[in-house]
Amino acid sequence: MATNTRDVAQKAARWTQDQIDAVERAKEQQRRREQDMNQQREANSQNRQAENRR
Amino acid sequence: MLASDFSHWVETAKNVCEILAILGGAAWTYLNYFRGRIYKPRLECSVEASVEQHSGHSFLKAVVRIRNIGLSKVSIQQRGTALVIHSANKQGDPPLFPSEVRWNDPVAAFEVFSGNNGVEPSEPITESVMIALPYGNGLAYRVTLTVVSGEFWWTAATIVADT
Repeated sequence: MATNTRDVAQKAARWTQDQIDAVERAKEQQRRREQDMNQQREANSQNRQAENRR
Repeated sequence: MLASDFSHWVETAKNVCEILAILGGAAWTYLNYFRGRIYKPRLECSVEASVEQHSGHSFLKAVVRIRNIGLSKVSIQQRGTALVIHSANKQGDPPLFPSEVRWNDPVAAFEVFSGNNGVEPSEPITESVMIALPYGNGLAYRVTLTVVSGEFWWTAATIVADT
């Protein structure tokens, strides 16, 4: 009985940890995407400025 | 003799009442503190979402709320706390009968409550997040709030469609 309770608690803790890891992965992916988008915008803006100068 | 018997019975009754009072107090304490979990961290989470159009662009507006309904301060752990967006798995043709929508892996996740270390008892905290949606995908989104505090984990979710 005690082992069962411990197993369930361990499974619940593992599940929670997996969920937290998935959320953190999604947050990291989002950060990278936003960083890429900002870099792309910066590059586009610089290209436009260079075009205008020409 | 009679007076002595009477005082003996009164004394016994008093002792019984005292024992019952102590047992009642113990039961109340047990129910209140342990079964009632009033000093365990408890949060009430909710999320409201809507899709708005501004200047031809679609935005998902989410309002996330938490309220501490326990009697002890709840710390908010940033690791795992987020507003997570899943998009509906769009199948090619419409199904022939009603079928449950499948959700893709999280398409986006945003930090929320990052300025708050903890929530005091009865304290509500509300935050709004505005998310620009990609052009013309017309999808449904599941918006999920997850809040983590140590070993505890709360979620609230809602579904919104970009029409």
